[in-house]
Amino acid sequence: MRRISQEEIFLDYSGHINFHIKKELISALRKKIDDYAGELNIKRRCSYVFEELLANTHEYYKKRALENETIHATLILADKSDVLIRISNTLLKSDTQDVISNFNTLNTGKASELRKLFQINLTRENKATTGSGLGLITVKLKTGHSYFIELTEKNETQNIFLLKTTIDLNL
Amino acid sequence: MNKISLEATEFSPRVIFDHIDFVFKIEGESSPEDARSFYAPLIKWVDDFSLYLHFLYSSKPDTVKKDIVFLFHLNYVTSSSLKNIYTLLLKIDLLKAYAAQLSIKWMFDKGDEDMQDNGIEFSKMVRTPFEILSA
Repeated sequence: MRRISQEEIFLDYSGHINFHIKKELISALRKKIDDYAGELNIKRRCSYVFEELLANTHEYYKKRALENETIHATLILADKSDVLIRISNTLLKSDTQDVISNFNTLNTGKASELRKLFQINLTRENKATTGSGLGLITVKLKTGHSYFIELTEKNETQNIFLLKTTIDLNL
Repeated sequence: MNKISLEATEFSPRVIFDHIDFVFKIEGESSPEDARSFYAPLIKWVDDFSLYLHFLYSSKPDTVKKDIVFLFHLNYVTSSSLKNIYTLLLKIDLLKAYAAQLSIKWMFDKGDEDMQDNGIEFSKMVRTPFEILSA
């Protein structure tokens, strides 16, 4: 397995998440990615994907009153051609099956099915009843990569949920 | 009714909704903390504008209808903003009866395929004709 050197880690953060922290992380990422050549679209896509995945965790923590929990977010430049994003957060065991099911839908859905799901999500009023959020759908559509998910037991009622995805830099 | 004139901030776009000069534009980044609160007054404004035009043309039937063009030129949009922009577009659809021609100009920065894609997706979901243009 290829060893990731320190210089290739764009960002490594452990701590709480709120809107301001999220924006500081996005700002740090934007500064870092500006140093790399590449298309405007790809640079913006990196910010967008990272922000949506952070927002997804943040919204979950707010919904479940878990704001005291922390996250761990890492962005790694791999082989100078891909950005790997990893975000881990606390996930209640009671929510785990639904979450796995949602990610399976995202990972197995064809682009045309995901666009339909995008339209459904865009038009619905009540977010709580319909599975994956808009952000996770658009991230999958834009990156074209499946989500990798991994669960580790944290305690009796909680798991650690690790989510990974990849952005091609097209360098 | 009053016009809306909002300066861009770090996370929210510049907005001009001017019913006197007929200038309607949203430009910049849209990633506010609470997208619903940001877009709610804009959505209401379009509702009010629709009523304003209804009474204008009802009370003065000889008034010539004008073209209404809403310009969107966004460089970054979070998913929560997308949802609210869609609601705004649906309200804009309702202005058709009060316009000579109603259209959306969806502009994207050159090379920003994702923003172009957003415009394409929206254009399939609303009735107002979309012009999708590179800046």
